[in-house]
Order: sequence, then C-alpha cells, then structure tokens
Amino acid sequence: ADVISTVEFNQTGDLLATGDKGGRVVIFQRETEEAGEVGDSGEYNVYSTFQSHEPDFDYLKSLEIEEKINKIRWLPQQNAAHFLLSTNDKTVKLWKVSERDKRPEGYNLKDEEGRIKDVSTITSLRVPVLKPTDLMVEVRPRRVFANGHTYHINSISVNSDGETYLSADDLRINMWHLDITDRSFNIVDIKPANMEDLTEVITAAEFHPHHCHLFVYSSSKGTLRLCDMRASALCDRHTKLFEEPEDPGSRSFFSEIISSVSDVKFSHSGRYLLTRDYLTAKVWDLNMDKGPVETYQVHEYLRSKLCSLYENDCIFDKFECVWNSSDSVIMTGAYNSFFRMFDRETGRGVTLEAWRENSKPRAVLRTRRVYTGGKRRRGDVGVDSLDFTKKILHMAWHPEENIIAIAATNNLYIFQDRVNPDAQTQ
Amino acid sequence: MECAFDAQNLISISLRKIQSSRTQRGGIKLHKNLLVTYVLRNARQFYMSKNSLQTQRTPPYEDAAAVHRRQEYIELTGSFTELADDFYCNFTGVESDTWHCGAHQSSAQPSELAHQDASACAMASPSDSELMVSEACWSCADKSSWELPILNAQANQKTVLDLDTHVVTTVTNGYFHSDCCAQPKQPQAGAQCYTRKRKMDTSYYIVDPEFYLPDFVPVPCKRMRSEDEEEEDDLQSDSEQLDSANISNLISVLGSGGLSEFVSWQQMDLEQIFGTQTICLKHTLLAGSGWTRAIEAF
Repeated sequence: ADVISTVEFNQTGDLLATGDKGGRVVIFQRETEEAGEVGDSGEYNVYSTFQSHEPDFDYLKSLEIEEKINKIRWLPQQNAAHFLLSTNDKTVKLWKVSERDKRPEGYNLKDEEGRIKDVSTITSLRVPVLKPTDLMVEVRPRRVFANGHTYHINSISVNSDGETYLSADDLRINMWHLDITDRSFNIVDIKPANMEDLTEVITAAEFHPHHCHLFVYSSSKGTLRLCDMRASALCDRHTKLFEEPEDPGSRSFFSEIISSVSDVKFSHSGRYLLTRDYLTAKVWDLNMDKGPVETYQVHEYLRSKLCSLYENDCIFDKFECVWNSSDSVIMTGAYNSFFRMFDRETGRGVTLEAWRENSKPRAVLRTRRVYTGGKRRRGDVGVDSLDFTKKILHMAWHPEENIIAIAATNNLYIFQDRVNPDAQTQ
Repeated sequence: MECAFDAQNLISISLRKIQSSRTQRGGIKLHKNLLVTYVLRNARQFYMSKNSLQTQRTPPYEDAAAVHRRQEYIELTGSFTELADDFYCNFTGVESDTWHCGAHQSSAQPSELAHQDASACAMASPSDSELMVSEACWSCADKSSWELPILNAQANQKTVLDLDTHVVTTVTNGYFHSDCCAQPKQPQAGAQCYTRKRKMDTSYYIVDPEFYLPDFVPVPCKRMRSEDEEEEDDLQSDSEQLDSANISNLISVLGSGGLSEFVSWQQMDLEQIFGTQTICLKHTLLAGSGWTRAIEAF
C-alpha cells in the first residue's frame, strides 16, 4: 500500500475516497445498517480501486510529473452514479463510479463468451434480456482537464452551482465547467511580472458552500483572501483580506514558514473559515478580517525545535484541518500519529493517536499527552521522543455523523464516536 | 558568536535544500523554495548585523576602507536574485569570518561597491534596475567562465578553477576576474578588493517553468485559455526566457562543486570555531532554549 495523500467523504458519507502517492484511488463504502441494530453504524469496506493518474513527463520542460493524487472532491450526486474529481500536480480528471448488477444475455450474433457465432447455426431470433449478475463497480474517466496549470495544483473545489469547479496552483486559480475540458477561465493570477519579485504563493482555495460567487484562497504569507466573482472577472483584487498582524516578539528565522497557511476550509454554515499553519489552527469569522476569532495551539512545544524541523524538512509539512458537521469541533493532525480535536465551545483540545498497535477494533481511543513540563503522567510522551516520520496530514470528517477518517502514512483509520454518533447531540 | 554560527548553519542548509530541490521528482516546488529563501534572507540579515557589530570593535590596524565596505550591507528585500547573488559571492580568506560579499547596490550607494571588474557589470549604474544589471552580467557570462574560489589555506590567496577551460589559476589579494570582459581593473595596491559580484538570476533554479511557455498578457476580463492559444504562445518569446547556455553554466556551478565547495568552507570555518557537534540556537529574537543533535535520531 502506498502513502495516502488525500481523504474525502462524499456528501452523504456513504462513500469514502482515498488517493495515494502511486496515483491510485480507493473508494470505501459504508455497509448498510442491519435492521434493528440502532446505533451500530456499518463499517467501511473497499468498494472500488482504480488507477487515476500515471507518472507523466513534460518533454518541453524536461520535468517529471508525479502521479500522486493531491486532492479528491466528490460531486453532488444527481443520479445512480457517483462522480468525483481527482487531481495530481497538473491534470484534473472526472471519474464516473457506477454499479452494474445486471448484464444482457441472449445475443443473437454472439455467444455467452462474446465470440461471434457462425451465422449458419442461427435458426431463430431472440430478444436479449437483462439478467441479474454479481455486483460490479465500474469506474470510467469521463473528463480530463489538462494543460490548465503551469505550477503545481494544490486544491480543487466544486462550486455549489453544481456546474463549475476551481483548481488552484501556486500562482493561479482557474475555473472550469465540468462539461468543458478545452477551456478554463483564469480568475486569480498573482504571478508578478518579474519572478524575482515573487513574495507569496497560493496554498489552498475553496468555494463558499452556499454562495456560488464567493471563494477564498490562502497564501504562504498567512493571509486569506475572499473573492467575489461578481465584482470583476479577474479576482486579483480581493473583496476581503483576512490577516493577523505578526507579533514582533515572536519573530524568528522561520517566521515566514510557520505562518504559511497549509489548508483552508469553510464551515458548513459558510460563516467561518478554518485555517491551519504549522503550529496553530485558527477560526476566522467572515465578518471580521482583523484577525482570527479563535486560535488553537496544535503543538506549541515544537516552537523551540524549529531549526531541527527545518533541517529534516518537517517544517514544510502541510497539515489539513476539518470541521465536524455541526461546526462545533475542529480537527487537525500532528506528529507521532497524533491528531487533535478542539471543542470550540469550551476551547479545550484533546490529543488522540492513530496507531494500529495501540488500538484494536472497537477499542476506545484514549487521550494522549505530550509532556512539556510540570507533573509527568504515565503515558505522557516527551517532545524528544516524538516520531516525526509518523505524521497525520490528511483527514476527513463524515458530513453528518461523528465518524472520522485519518490517514496515517499508508494506513487508513476510521473512528466512530459511539457515545455521540450524531453530531447534533454533542 | 554562537548566533552567527547558527545563521551560517542555516544558510548552508538552505542552500543545500535549494540545490537538492532541483533534482527532486516532480520538478521544483515553488512554495518550498520561496520559504527557504525567506530563511536565507533572515539568516543573512542576522549574520550581517552581527558582523557589523563586530567590525565596529575591530582593531585599529584594519583597513578603514575594508571596514567601511563591510558596513555597507544592504537590507534584502527578499528577491530571489539578491539572495542567490550574495551567497555565491567570493570570500577572501580564512582569517576573516566575515562575508566580503559584494552587497547589492542601493540607490544611496553610488560607486564604491563590488562591481569592479567586469566592465559590463561595473558600468551598470546604481540607478539601473537589477534586471538590467543582470542582463549585463549575463551577456558577460555568455562568453565567460564560471570561476569558483577554492579555499586556500594561505591568507588572501585563492585557487580558481575555470569550469569552461579547466584552467587552474591562483589569484592573490582577492582579485577575481572574469576573462570575458574587456578591461579588468587592476587591484588597488594594499587594499582588499571586492571582486565582481556575480549576479545570478535565481529564477533559474527557483523557478520559472513558464520561461518556456510564455504567460498570457493579463486582460481585464475573464481569460479563456484554449488549447489553440497555448500553441500560439509557445512560439512567442517570453521576457523571462533566457539563453540555455547560461542555464547550463549555472547548473555546472551548482553541480560541479560550487555549492559543495561553499559548504565545505562553511564546515571548515565552523569546525575552527566550535569543536563540538552541539548546535545551540540562541537567537536573540527566539525565546527557545538550547537543544542538541539528539533530535536527529528522529
């Protein structure tokens, strides 16, 4: 199994898609609940696997194009089939996932194996009929959106209008129509006339969940820009700029790196934004651009280790962040297979671990702690004992229930809150 | 002194990262390289400010002109060119742990700076844009050799390897010349000359993938990119398009020992200062406490 690079639930939560560094997509489906077993949600089993992207080569620039799946986004379901967008660094693809449980039988000219019959043996005509067969999941590429990006694609986001989506690379954001592959509209371009003047890049972008004209993009400088496509065709000038003034007392060699936003997500309500930078997760109110309304320290104990984290490249890790369905809890990943959840009402955070040896199926996750001083409890992990190769970068939260999917290197963990299975009761 | 040591360490690590990013699968990561250059800038600023404080305490016999030059460090604005420029400059000897880099010309500093040799570069006035200077140097580099200073134990003496002709020469007094340019100036007697600052356009390796594929001119309406348009633009020239010969020269500088020489100089200097393996980041702006190499165990 390859390293998982993206995880995404569909809109109902019945399907969970993962993409990996090898360009493969694995789709899990939730088993239907048995009648009468209230509260015992079904498990997720493999539904389909397919190769989405292959390694590619740009001959003009002599550059290898990685097949790693950067993002997967599901389209809202409109019929029996499911559609998802998957992207690597350069190309976005639309895949149709459909089921087939019947097959036609009784062809006149072909036998059951598909071989052409000898015409002389045909004595009568019959009408082929559909007979039930074993369930087959077919995945077919329906669209390939290529040649839209010069730089590396970091985000895709489906618009609430159901017809368009955006793709963002380091310097540009393009808007596509799902049915049109040979054209895209460029809606943001921050490439300077002289590349020597480059000071920031786009790190993530997302459409507003309800307003099809609004989208947000984050930058490596830690700023968020809300753009309204009604204002102008080219949204280089933001409608709103969200920025927190830097604390001069905390300035270091690595200030720019740790302030770079690695992920941005709208809340389900559309009122808030959740961002993740290297050490913190922040909640912003769309109505207030002076600074975040909430800041959560994910692993502040790493602030004094930034030099070594720079040396081993960990400081460049891009952590994702997610909301729960009621927007009352946010979650993000850390090192040592730890991930953190923060309750927005109380402000309290909890650290959990996604590690196979420590958790059997159906076992309750126990909270973990990183020892940073004071009284040391049993089970606490010292900062110097943290395993920085075990990083939780990608995760997803079920759109309606308290089910989370955590990608830990090449393992996928799915956890359920059995005490409060529905988010509403939390 | 410890903080300057850390800044040096960061500088060498950063340069190594930039170097290795060029051979990474998937192409150069623009975001990561941008962040690395910010670290470079910060480390350099700190290092320079530390050195300028030290030079204020230098003994009186030191050449006043050299001291004055060391103090003329220009603040970086964060542009790639400036950063790469400064870190591929010459250095003039073991005894000095300061960087006699040709600092960037600022508009306030007219003539007494590093562009002394290559006439094309030297004639670029301070008011010229950096791009112009860059172009001047590039036309120079078109015919020139890339010369790498190889550290020589003797003070004020360097062994220079010409990458094009593979001729090894020894220069003294920090004089460092490019054989392409017309009238190299003679070094002033008795003075440490700042040699020509080799201006490199780091957009080579930081990136502009688009120098092959020119960008669209921004228009005040939603731009539609069609495949037809892209084919047309392939044939147009781009302002950022550069001579491939220059690119190969730069690659040879980075690949054939330029960077490693630089890094090995760093190591030698650092080992002379610190005999231990412990690195302590006691930056005055940081509140963190010291940490040891044990963290490498991860």
